[in-house]
Amino acid sequence: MSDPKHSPSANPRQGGSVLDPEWEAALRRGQEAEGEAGSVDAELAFVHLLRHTREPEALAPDQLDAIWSQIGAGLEAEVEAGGSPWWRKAWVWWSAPALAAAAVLVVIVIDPGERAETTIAQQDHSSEAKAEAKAEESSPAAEPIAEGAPADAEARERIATAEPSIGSGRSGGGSKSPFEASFVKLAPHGRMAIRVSVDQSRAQLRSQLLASARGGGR
Amino acid sequence: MNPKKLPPLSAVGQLLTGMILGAVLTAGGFALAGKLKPPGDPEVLVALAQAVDATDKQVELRLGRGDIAGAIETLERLRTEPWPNRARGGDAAIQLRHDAYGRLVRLRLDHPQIDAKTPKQLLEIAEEGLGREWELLDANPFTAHLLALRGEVLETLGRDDEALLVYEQALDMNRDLLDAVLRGGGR
Repeated sequence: MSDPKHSPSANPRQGGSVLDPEWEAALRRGQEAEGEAGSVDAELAFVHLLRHTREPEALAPDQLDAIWSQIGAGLEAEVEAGGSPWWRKAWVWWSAPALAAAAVLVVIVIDPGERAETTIAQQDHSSEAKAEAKAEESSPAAEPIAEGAPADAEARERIATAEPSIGSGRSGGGSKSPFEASFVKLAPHGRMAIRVSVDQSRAQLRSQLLASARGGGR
Repeated sequence: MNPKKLPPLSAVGQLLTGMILGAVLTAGGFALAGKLKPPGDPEVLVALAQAVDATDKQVELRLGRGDIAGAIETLERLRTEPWPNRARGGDAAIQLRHDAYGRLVRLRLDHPQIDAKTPKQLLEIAEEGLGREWELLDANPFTAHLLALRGEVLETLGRDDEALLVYEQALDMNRDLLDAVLRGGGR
């Protein structure tokens, strides 16, 4: 790296202090004149540090601004590259409750409506089946129940006792009906309301009993 | 950004949804609780509530064992008990009746082969459960449910216009109820 021959102390032509800027200029000139390769940058950096320690060098305002702008650009790039996690961002905390409320509304309000469309389709299908069953039932040319047709016999028996479509389609899948879905979701509110009313009545009875007991004791 | 630190998106969503839903349900339940007409005879309501509660437990047990016929029979027994009117039992008594009849009609609709009833008989059961005072009640899930079941029975009878009307009433009641629950008693 550095050659001892290039040290100012080894050069008889340069007798100044190493902290003198002229010393560095003389060193550069000597290095060029001798045409030798090599670098003394590391040593010069140390010399700069010593010089700065002795007499701090003031930066010009534009130089200072340039340095800060470089630092700022570096910081911004780093923040963009590996910024805070998404769940720490402010917009998440503001928008998440609204999104959750919307999800609840979708589950309670919109979803049963979609199921209603489905069940209306099922209902149509059920109505058609019912119409067919009725047509078969009312047909005067109804075939006698064959011994080898138990399913047909069973179907006729069901028609005779109860409408098959009651248990099928909308009714058969009771939990699939939009009304059933709403009922399942809303029933807890109703039960709580009834429970409160019953508890109030029970408390009223208790106070009546206590009052009558006090009245009897007097 | 370390991916290990990321909480699962579904977990965050479930947590938030659960918190909001829980708050809404709690507020809604309390909102509805204060709207019932009190009973004229508190003793009647307390006795009825105990009877219905015991019946519900029996029905649950029987259904748990797959004994549909037993569950229907239990509810039919409760049906034969005297039911207080609104003046004596308050709104809660009427709603308890609608709840019990709703369970019965639902079971009968879902299992028509058990102790079979004709649609006309089912309609009588539903109308008997509804009574004449249901229109005086505030929106509640039990009346809406029984109304919808009555609509189903009317539909099977081919009385589609009446069924549509009843479904509309049930929907209106459901809307009002949902509105009351979501408002948390704001009205």
